[in-house]
Amino acid sequence: MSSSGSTVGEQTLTGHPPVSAPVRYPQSAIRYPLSALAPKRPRPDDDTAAPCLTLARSRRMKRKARLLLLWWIPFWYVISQLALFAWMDESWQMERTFSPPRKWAILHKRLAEMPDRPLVLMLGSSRTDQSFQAGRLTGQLAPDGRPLLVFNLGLPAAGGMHHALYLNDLLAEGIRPRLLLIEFVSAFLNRSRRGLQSEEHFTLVPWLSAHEMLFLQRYYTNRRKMITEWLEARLAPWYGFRWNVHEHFLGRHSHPPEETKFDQSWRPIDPWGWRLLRDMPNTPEFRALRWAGAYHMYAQSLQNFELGVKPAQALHDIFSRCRRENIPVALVLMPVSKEFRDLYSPEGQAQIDNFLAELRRRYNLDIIDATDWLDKEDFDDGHHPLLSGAEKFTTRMIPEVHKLLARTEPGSSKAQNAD
Amino acid sequence: MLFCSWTFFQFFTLVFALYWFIPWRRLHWEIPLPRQRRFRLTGDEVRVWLLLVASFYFYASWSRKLALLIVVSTLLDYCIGLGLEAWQDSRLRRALLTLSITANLGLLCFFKYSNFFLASLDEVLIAAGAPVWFNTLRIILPIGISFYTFEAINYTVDVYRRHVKAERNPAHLLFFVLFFPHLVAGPIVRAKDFLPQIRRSKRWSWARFQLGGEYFLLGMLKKWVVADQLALYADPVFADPSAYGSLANWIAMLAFALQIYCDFSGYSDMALGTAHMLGYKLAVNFNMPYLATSVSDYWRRNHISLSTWLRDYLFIPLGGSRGTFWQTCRNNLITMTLGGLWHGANWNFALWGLVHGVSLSVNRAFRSFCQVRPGLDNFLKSWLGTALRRAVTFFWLAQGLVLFRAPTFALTQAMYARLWFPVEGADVNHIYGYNLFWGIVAGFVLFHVAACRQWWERLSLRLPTPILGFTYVLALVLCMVMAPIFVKPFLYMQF
Repeated sequence: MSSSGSTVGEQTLTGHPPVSAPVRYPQSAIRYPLSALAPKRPRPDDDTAAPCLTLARSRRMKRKARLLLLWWIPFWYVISQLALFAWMDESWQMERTFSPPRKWAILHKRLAEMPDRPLVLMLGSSRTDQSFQAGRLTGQLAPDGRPLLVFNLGLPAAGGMHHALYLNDLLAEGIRPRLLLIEFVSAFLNRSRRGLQSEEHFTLVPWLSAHEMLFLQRYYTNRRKMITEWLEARLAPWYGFRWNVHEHFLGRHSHPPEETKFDQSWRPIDPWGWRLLRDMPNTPEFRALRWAGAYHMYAQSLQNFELGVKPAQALHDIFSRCRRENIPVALVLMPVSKEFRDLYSPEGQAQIDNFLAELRRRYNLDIIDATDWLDKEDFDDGHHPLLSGAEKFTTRMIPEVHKLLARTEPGSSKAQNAD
Repeated sequence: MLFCSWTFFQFFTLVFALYWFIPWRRLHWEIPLPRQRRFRLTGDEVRVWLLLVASFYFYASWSRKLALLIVVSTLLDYCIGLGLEAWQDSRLRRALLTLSITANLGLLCFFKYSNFFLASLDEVLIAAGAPVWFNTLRIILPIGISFYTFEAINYTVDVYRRHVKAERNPAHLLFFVLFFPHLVAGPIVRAKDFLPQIRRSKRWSWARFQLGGEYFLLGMLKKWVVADQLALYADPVFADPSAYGSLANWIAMLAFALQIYCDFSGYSDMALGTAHMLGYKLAVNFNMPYLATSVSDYWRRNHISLSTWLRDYLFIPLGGSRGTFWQTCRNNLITMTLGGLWHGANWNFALWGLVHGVSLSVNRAFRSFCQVRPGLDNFLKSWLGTALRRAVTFFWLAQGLVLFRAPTFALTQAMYARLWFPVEGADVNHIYGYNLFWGIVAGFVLFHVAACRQWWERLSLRLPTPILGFTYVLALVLCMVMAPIFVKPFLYMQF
């Protein structure tokens, strides 16, 4: 529509008072892309330059617009987004998002190799991932005389919500563990609040599959926000994954040296799911740096700990499911340094203790309290073990697993109680 | 609800779909009323109501009470407008106009300036040693109050001057004030431009939708790719200039100069685009202000809807430039100081406006000086002179923006000290270092060159449609990648 009144797309309504003088704005020297739509005019001098609102469109522009908007823009949009997905899949992914599929692949491989062995599976977070040397238990004999298959399915940033998801996936695939060990990640039971750590905050929503998103959303405090974030990443991946794109350009996805200090998920995994910590440095400076990092990450959250209803519900769901499916299950309180434990406020610690007592009472649950199994020197940051810590933990874990297997053997008193 | 947010996308998609995809044009209701009257409701009128309800929701999603406040104040202006048109007695009309201006400015002053004046009075009293002070009031500043107040005043003054007819349909007047694209941060719409558009029937046009989309995309590019990225260089330094070296302070100053332009013009472009997609047009608000060759030229190119409003409703009523040189200077100073204060309740803004008032007066004097010196005048009109004028003007404007941005006088002083007395110090900690800053500056310059030489204007008509589509998507992808992790509100929404 030009300012002189050639109102394309508009008509004067009859029955209304006559329209006053047509809209006239001063002429423009703007050469925005949009002025392509304006008719050619002599270019005004600088001092007379003033903006103009013109909507005169050339016939060619009119013809183009429909084709452009209906076909070419959607076409290139879809291509660009698919290209990003392809690029991400082929060339780069964050190690943390890469860990779950890798571990699942290894587990499937082990199960295919040893289909008849009773499976002992430990679900947990990065603490389990780095602590539990499942390979040392594999091959040892179960009470029924069969050699065991033990696997560490500890994954970085996984708490109760993720354990519920993984249990669901295992059962959907027909994998029924002979014994299931669940890490009790108290820090992830924190009620989701802005600025404080909880399992929700650790979860990278854009990277979840549709199935994972649909399963996990029931445990989210702000479901709408979670679903919106996920949808953004699906409908506009360049927007949803923009930070990862920047990291890729900066070369951060490949873990530059300073980041490897804080994130061990780049390390390889052994055939039984344990994160290989063999070459992990063990100097006072390194540990001081790691402890400072962990303190910075968790201190405020643990000092303000409040048991979240949704994360607690996830644990209830796991144990209810195990009871329904008749799968023996035990809860493991992973080793944590005294300094780290002291970060919890007395009220927060009381809430955790009460919750544990409730779980034990309601589900007749075995709880392995390994909290103080390790010395301070066995940790690198107060809650993740060094190699020595992993060895000590596994050594003490082996008899506990055997005891549990014996207690839950069909025909034993515990098994009968559970029935 | 910010334009570049998921919430707005959902809101606008719904409004757009209801507005265009329902065949409103076929709708024609006639409801019989007593005394053989009929109430006619056409599809176009329903569309206006739809946008009115959407606009109300848009504002009410932030504050329902304050949305009602706009409605009440606009209805008062509606009644005053009818009175102004009906009555011939000049005294009565003047009284009505005074009532309207007092009510509108009263609300603006109450919400925006009461705490500012109380705090200033406190400082004066404390300085004088008086043992009393005033508690500041708990007031929420209604978003966009400065914009819609000026629109309402524009309406009643124009009706008073008989430049426009009083609007008889209250829904139309409400829609003029509440129309969501310009509601919270302008452009300041004139009644004589907008009210006639409401009465026109709207028809779908692909070209117009493309135009709106282009404006919106351009706005997004300015906001996300330039303004929000440059904010990462400006914000930390303006918060504590002493913690950074002179280089960081210079970069922060330049970054803010580009940020504020791109942030506000980005918003204006999105507003224009959104309005176009709904069949309305708003005034263009910017015309490459950093190509201005003088401060007066800058005000013809920057925030045009405000500067023309101030010109028409403040500067000219004060006498404009018809009087002596000193009277014009006085009018400039008053207009620009009030214009500065319009931006925010802070003495920094008033001082910034005052500096611009002085600059305009100096500019006027310099022009008179040059007019009697043809050699100098010709040199200044040459390409070298023009480049020099542009550089000096930009430099002066950027320096002035320190006053605009720094939250306190103390920080302003600290920043000027760092700018003018070189000091070694920390640099801004940005993931890309200063590379991104220089990249954006280069892009900004390139954009201006392209705009001046009409590259895009020529190209876009000649490019094959697939390539044109690819270009748009490329721009969209760039916006997406550069979008900040946390959406930043537009700077002018606080005004």
